[in-house]
Amino acid sequence: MRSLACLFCALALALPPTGGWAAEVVLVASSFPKEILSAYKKAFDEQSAEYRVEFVNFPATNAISYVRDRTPGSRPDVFWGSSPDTFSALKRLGLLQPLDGFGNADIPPIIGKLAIDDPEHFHRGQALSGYGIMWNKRYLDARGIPVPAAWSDLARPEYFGHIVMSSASRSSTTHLIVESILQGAGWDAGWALILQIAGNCATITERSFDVPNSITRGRFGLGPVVDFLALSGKYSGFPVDFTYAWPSVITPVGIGLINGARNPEGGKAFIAFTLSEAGQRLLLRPEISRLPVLPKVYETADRPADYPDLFDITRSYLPAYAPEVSESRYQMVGALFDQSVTFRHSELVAITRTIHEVAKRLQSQPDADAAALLDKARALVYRAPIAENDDLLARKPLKTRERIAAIAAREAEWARQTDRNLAAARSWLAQANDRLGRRP
Amino acid sequence: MNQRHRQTAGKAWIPLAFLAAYLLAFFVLPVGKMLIAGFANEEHQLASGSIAIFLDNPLYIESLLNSVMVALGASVLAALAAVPIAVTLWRFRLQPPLILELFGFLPLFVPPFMLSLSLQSLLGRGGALGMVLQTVGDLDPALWGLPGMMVIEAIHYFPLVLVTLVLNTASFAQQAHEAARLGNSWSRLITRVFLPLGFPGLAFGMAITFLKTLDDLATPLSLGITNLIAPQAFFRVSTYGSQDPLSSLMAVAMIAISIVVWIVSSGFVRHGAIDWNPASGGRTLAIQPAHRRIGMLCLAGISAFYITCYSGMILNSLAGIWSHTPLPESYVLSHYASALESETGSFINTLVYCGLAAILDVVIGLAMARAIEHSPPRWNKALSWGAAALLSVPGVALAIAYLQFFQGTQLPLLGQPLDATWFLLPMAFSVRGLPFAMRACAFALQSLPAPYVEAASLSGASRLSIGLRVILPMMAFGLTVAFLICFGIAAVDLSSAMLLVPSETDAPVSYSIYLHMQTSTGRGTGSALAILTIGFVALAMSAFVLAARRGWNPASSFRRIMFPGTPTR
Repeated sequence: MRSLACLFCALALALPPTGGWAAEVVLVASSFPKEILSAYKKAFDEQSAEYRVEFVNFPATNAISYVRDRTPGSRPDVFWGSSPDTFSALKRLGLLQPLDGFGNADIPPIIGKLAIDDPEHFHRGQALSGYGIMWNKRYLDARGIPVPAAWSDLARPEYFGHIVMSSASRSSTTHLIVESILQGAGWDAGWALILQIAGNCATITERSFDVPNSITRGRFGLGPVVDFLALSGKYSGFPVDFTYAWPSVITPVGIGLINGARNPEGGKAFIAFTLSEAGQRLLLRPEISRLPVLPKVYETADRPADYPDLFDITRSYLPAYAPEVSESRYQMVGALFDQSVTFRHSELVAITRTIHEVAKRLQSQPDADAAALLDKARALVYRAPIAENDDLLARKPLKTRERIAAIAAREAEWARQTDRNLAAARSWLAQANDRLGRRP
Repeated sequence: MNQRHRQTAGKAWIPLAFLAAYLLAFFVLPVGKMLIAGFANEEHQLASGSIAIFLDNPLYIESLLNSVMVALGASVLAALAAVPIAVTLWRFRLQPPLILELFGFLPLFVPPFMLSLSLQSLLGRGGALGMVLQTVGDLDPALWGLPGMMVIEAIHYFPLVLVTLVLNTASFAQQAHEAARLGNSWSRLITRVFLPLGFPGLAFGMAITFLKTLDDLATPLSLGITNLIAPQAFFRVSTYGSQDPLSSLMAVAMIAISIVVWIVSSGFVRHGAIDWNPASGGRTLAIQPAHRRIGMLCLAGISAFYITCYSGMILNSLAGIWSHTPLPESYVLSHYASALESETGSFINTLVYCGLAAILDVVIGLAMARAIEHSPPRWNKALSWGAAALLSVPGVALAIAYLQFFQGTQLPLLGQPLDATWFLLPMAFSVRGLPFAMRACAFALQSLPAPYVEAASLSGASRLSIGLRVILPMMAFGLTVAFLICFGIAAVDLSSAMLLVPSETDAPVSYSIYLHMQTSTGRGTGSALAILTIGFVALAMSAFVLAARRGWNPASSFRRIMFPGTPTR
């Protein structure tokens, strides 16, 4: 009994494990790295007597289910993230509140060709994100590997084993890059490119941040990232650089108030802070290195000399990206990526290595039959997992067990299909190798 | 007397009800609901739909086999490395210093993904050995695939296997030497004495290695390995939500494998009581200096190996800029400063969650150990191993069960969903620690001779003073051991934490380390945090050793019972 009493005492004492109850909590759901969140937490808590901010950090890919699964009144107050698809879905599901008569009047609604705010004011633009390729200069120099300029460069054999990327189901950055390739190059050609790049990857990381992390440390050479992760490494003194690769995508980083928030007033206070000059200026810190949307901030001298310029970047923006298309098939593209890349990565790498080897031998000793076998193998290995008009990609309620079971049944089918395809491609490549081997 | 008995019987149901409620709410019902979710359709009828899909997908079968293979490989590798060293130590009658023995339990208190990340820094292309040896080949463990994970887990759990082996055999080293002097050959002694004696410890250590590897989530994810059952379940829950029937099935499969392993290992662990008590075994025969030297060389070699393994992390925690050079360009202490500045919260969280879990474990473990002790003798062993097997639910499986069971449950006072608070974390941790708590508490109970209690109660002492002056002092050592073990197990339980952590500010330190390791600019802060944690654990262990050496002598509690007049303090 004594122990029981002790237990209750301990429980009572332990209720607030961190912090106190003095200031009201604003709960912000975000997919941003710790550097950004800690900087904003510190700055916001210091200037607000009424509120203090807490963060729920998880991949933006899980944001929708996280918010929706909670009853109104117990949801987080604010969602803050770079993925336009997530905002599109949150808005469609009625999980955002309009932010009318709100925000910083000095932030232009349109920069270049890019609309910063949601036309109906369900979410505001807080910063800009551009997507591209980051590389480690020392790593590439040491191996004599050229610097890439476009996504398609990453499929070339000289990058085999030097690329690192994350999974589209776990990283909203990777998801956005995958979608921009799918939309820019078309579904079939897009998947072909993605699968070839994935075959060139040394590893598929679990979180987006591990991509820039292993490039800054020189563990791998290059990979697809969002600009600020590369720039923060560069301005912190690491030998890394970054380019906005084609087909490039620039998207506004959004911030929105959740419908059914526990503390909507506190949420508004936090949003207002992120849009204020002080909140925008935080973005220029070297460890954050994001692109503010408040033009005035760029005029200040406290940013590095070669910091990207707001209007340069938005000028080069290719307005091909359709968030509503991406959002409608969001989960399935992630699942397709996992099934054909993440879970089959070692097989994909092995067969990509063979494909590069056969292609190289063909260059020195041309052979029409072997070339045909190689093309056949390539087409099969780098084929889109399903057709773009597949019923599975149409938007449907996802949460029912029946639907999950239906998807799982299709996944089992793809897994078997992938195994068969790989086996067929392996035998064709072996035949091609045999043909080339028989020649002197 | 009679009345008192009735009173006792009347009150006895309170702890029992508490025990039953706890087991029901945090173990039986969640896991039961998950079983139903795995095997039933939407109308709650038994259906084979999801099982058919599971069996139909070659990926899941492969993942299941891979998981078993990696876990088996890791435990066999760890055993293969431990046996020769244990034989050497036994042969030369060298009992490692107590502190080194305790460090053998360090694998239970440090998550293995730290080793994996440290080796990536050490052997990866970006620096240190990996860069120097690039011409030989790629040493980065992330490129080794499943064997890489096997080796990492084996390195991580090797000290545990070694120590259980040493503790089980050490007390007979003396007799073996006597036997050897009488003309028995050492090879005969090793096969006839060492192996039979050591086998229970070996089986125990291997079983722990197997179960922990099977359940490990952070290590395979840090290596980019997803074709294992735990990561598959994790990916499914994060893609499709906790209602996904296939993740329930994966969790059920993991539970089934764990139960089989417990049962198999229980067959070997005949007298599983590990010799925890540091005060056992006297030495009369002098040890030859040459033998001592060989033994010490062995221990020094092992220590050096581990320091090398973790040097990647130590370097990272001190490195300013370290990018594609053998050694860092500059060294800073700022990572430690920022770890201390931003992560004191997660240290406090760990203390709170794991402290709560460990207190619960000791209380419940004691109650269960007592209940088992009082059951008929022939049921004794079966009951204790049965309970342990049932409770050895992998963390991933338990977290999935909790997410399914508590989804939508609102907390009455705070108006929050239960799974949005940190409440489920200590609960999951306590269930995970319970099998260990039961063993440790059973040991503590064994150190409580019933005659003393009887004598005290016959001499008219009240129940309270018997508890305070007889039972507690005699069991203090065992209970402290139980508390520490449960605390440590909870502190490294990333598998359930990764699924149950509600927000970053509520994260325990092991999860904060995992997050910090994946920030964009290097692994400095995460490494610093990891080193601080390992340092803290090592310090706590050393303090425990000192406390055990000083005055915390079980003999003093004997004296108090023999001479009831002596004051307690």
